[in-house]
Amino acid sequence: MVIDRLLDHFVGENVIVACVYCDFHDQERQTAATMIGALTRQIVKARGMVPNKIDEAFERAEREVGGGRLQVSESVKLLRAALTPVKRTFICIDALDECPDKHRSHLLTALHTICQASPGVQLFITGRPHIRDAVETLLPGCVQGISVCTNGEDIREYLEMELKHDPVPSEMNHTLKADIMKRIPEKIPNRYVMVNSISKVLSDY
Amino acid sequence: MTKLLNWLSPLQARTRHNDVRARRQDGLGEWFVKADEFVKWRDGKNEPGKTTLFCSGNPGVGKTFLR
Repeated sequence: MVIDRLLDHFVGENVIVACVYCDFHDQERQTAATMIGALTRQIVKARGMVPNKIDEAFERAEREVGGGRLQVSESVKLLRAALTPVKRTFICIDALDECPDKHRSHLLTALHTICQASPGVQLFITGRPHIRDAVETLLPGCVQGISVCTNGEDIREYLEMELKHDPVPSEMNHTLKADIMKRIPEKIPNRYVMVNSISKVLSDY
Repeated sequence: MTKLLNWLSPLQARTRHNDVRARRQDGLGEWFVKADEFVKWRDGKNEPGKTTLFCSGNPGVGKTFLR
């Protein structure tokens, strides 16, 4: 949603959106170095050319025994090299709480370095509330917070959609539908829960 | 080029994004992209230095579908 909206909003402008999704089940491969590398990879692809610094580093690595795997510090340098002439870059990191602590701190520190060095970079990070401290500490003075909550409109749209796919449509009628549309939104606590909980309330109904 | 890209990182973020996009429902989370915090951040109109928007929520609130 955010990624598509950013792409739509800035279409035709010199803007790049790069993203990484942290996944608890993919911890083996997802290190700070590979996640930063994934951002560089997308930026290089979006620009359609390989900056000299990256090309040179790759050729050096190829000559090394064992393929020369990228370390975090080198990875950060390459990301900076990829960013240089781009006017604005949005970096999205999803589910940061699923990234193990040691990689998370390296990643946040690296992102802070990048933001300080490249003023056109903006970060969008999602995660559970318990990592807020880590994010604010490692990106000091850079963070604006927003809590995800849903509203009545979201809930009603979701209900309409679910009701269209009612597995037993013969048991549905106008009175029941009106009742569902009125009572389910009232049951969603504090307007704070989204799809999963609505499904639960709906299946209990 | 492919070899170089794979050296930069073996992770393929775009595939993941398209997978999530396919499961997302249109209209859900519309409020988010209209929220003041989001619009200000997108347009670079936050106070100087506030370059990061941290979107927090508990499991299941739909953060992933916002990305």
